[in-house]
Amino acid sequence: MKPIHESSCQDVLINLNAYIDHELDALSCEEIEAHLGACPNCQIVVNTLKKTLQLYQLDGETTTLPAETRRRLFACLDLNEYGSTD
Amino acid sequence: MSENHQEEPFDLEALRRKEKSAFARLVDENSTRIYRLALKMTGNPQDAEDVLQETFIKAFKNIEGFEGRSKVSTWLYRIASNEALMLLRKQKEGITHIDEGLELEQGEIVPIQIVDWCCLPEKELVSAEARDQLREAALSLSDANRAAFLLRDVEGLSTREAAEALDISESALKVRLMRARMQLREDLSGYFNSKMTKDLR
Repeated sequence: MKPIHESSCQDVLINLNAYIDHELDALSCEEIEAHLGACPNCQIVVNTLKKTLQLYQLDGETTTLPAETRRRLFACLDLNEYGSTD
Repeated sequence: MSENHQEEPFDLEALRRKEKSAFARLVDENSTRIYRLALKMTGNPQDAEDVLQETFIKAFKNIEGFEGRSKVSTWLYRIASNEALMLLRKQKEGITHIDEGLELEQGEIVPIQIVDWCCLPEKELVSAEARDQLREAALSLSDANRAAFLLRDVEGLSTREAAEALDISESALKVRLMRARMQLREDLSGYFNSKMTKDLR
């Protein structure tokens, strides 16, 4: 007989961070996934939250240090002779 | 394995002896990530540059204070977060700040927007307009929640490292992170939902 999953939407929300960060134990994970399989709304929340984080990571990866800002940083630290990017 | 010191080879002894070449290397390896944090915290390139310079000036002055127990980048993130938060506090002087509770209230994080926008075409998700929306949403978080989110989710620090950088407990970090993530998800869902309805028209 299959175990009865007692997981409700509220349980999913409480454990959402830990679930997304892979910090949950196997049993809790299984309970959440069983709930997600049966609850489209919670599934959407999980999917859109994951996507949200992914978009921010992507945006972060494309942020660069402008060359002028770098030059002024090395200058203000009196490290001019090391600041060359050549 | 977040405590992998081999990731960032640097010569602590040379830094303590105030050797310029060692400092230059430290700046080179960490300036982009510190600038990114400062920029996303303040939302303003000029403020970000001030935070960046102040962070390394303080790091050089206080290198004796770095004991080498945590990563040097975590230590720099800690100085930078402090600088950014101080600057923002100064700019907001006189504005009443509502303190959020240290624990999540019952029902505080109930999702409102339930729209699956993940299926939108990639070019809609990463358009210049969408990226402006990301920035705006992050800047609408409280400074404390934004700092937790940026360190954990954009800079990729572990919960323990991010908590250490902000000098708060891990449980406090988790509460701030939860509030930040859920608010950002709501904001982006609102925006992308409007894109989807426009596409359907």
